[in-house]
Amino acid sequence: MSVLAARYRVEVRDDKGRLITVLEDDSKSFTQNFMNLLVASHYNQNNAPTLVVYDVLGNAYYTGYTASPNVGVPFQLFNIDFGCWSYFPHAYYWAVPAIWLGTSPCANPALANGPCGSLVACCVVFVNASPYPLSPSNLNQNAPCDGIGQCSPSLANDSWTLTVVDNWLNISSSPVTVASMALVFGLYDIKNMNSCSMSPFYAAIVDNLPTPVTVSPGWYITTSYTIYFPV
Amino acid sequence: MPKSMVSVTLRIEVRDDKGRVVKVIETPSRSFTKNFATILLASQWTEFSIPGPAPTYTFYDVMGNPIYVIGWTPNPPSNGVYFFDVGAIFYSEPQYIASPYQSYTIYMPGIWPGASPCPSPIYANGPCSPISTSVLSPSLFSFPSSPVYTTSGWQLTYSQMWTNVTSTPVTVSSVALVFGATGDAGSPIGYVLYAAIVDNVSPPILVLPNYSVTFTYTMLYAI
Repeated sequence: MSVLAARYRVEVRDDKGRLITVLEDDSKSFTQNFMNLLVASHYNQNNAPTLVVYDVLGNAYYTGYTASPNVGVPFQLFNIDFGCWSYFPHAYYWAVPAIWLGTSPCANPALANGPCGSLVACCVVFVNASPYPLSPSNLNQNAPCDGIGQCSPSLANDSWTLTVVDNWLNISSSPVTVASMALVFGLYDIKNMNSCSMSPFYAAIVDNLPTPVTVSPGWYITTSYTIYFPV
Repeated sequence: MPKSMVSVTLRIEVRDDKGRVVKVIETPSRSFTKNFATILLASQWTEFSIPGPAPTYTFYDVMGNPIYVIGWTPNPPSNGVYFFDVGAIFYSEPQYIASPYQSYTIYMPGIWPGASPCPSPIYANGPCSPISTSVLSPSLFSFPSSPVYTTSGWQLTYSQMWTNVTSTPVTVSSVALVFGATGDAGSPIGYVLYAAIVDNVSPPILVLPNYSVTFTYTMLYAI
């Protein structure tokens, strides 16, 4: 009997808002990185196990405090709070929660560190850089839950649901192919619980699309994950 | 309903005073509690984004007390228990539990037994009629140190044994998987205890004097 399930949905719309493609399916699994972080989050600062975790770029970190670099004891495992996210992949860009997109399918999504191929949706320019081809269009720090999240759980017929939605606009002059997607969260070390600078970023769920989709210049791709808690 | 990503099994094993297994029950757990869904959602946001000081999220601890999540404010309320935000939600150690729980019927994370069934386990705040540790004495709570990889997914296993230290039989009709949760450093010091899963035991099990009962929750994260 299921106690948690997830489903993704991808919609591509042209520059006039007409629906071109819809893909929808069950998400298959959490990633191994998520599992290791989840386990570490049961512990305190004195005895957290040392488990390897890879960020979206494939950089290795360790839970606990005996190996370096470490993420310590994860404090907010599911954080999608844009206001406290930070630079990614370096200081010229700022990371955008929460569904990042890649151009290739992943060989094994459960073992992937993020969407595969080239990362095409993840970030906005912070200073002096060329933008990523897909730019967020529904992210709004003045909106409840940044305009991307759900502020309270919904009770549907047979479950509570939580949904995260990102709407990305192709601002480049070339078509963009999307073949994989990832639900990405930021991390805090419990020792920095009062800070507001989330990093690193890891993928808790990675899915391949059944067929790659093309997002032409000026078109939108809307991606969502809905988490179900059956009751 | 989409394909399951997480399923949970509850195994209950009763042993006599010589350690012999006298009863085994294995049953699927039905669901996480509403409190868990609320805490998980609240933990997506830092104190800087949760609008306050009116409570944005409210969940209930094992004693049924409301815990308010209010966002950061220089003037937090003077009554009630509040978090500015929610950070750790799976804490399983016996240390650092907030003081109100240290005199409660049970006072640490674990798999708690209750004497009564819960009318609706999904909405329960803990096991119903929690059984005192002076009746069923707990062993240490065993929780995962690494995910165990199997052909069907990763397994996380939680287990705790309780021994009847009285001279009369004890009936267990509900159990709850209880974790600690805390907010950031501005929130009250220590972890509050809440139930992530509550299950009724049907039919109830009887634990005779000097007998022990072990509750094991196995969570399968499918791949």
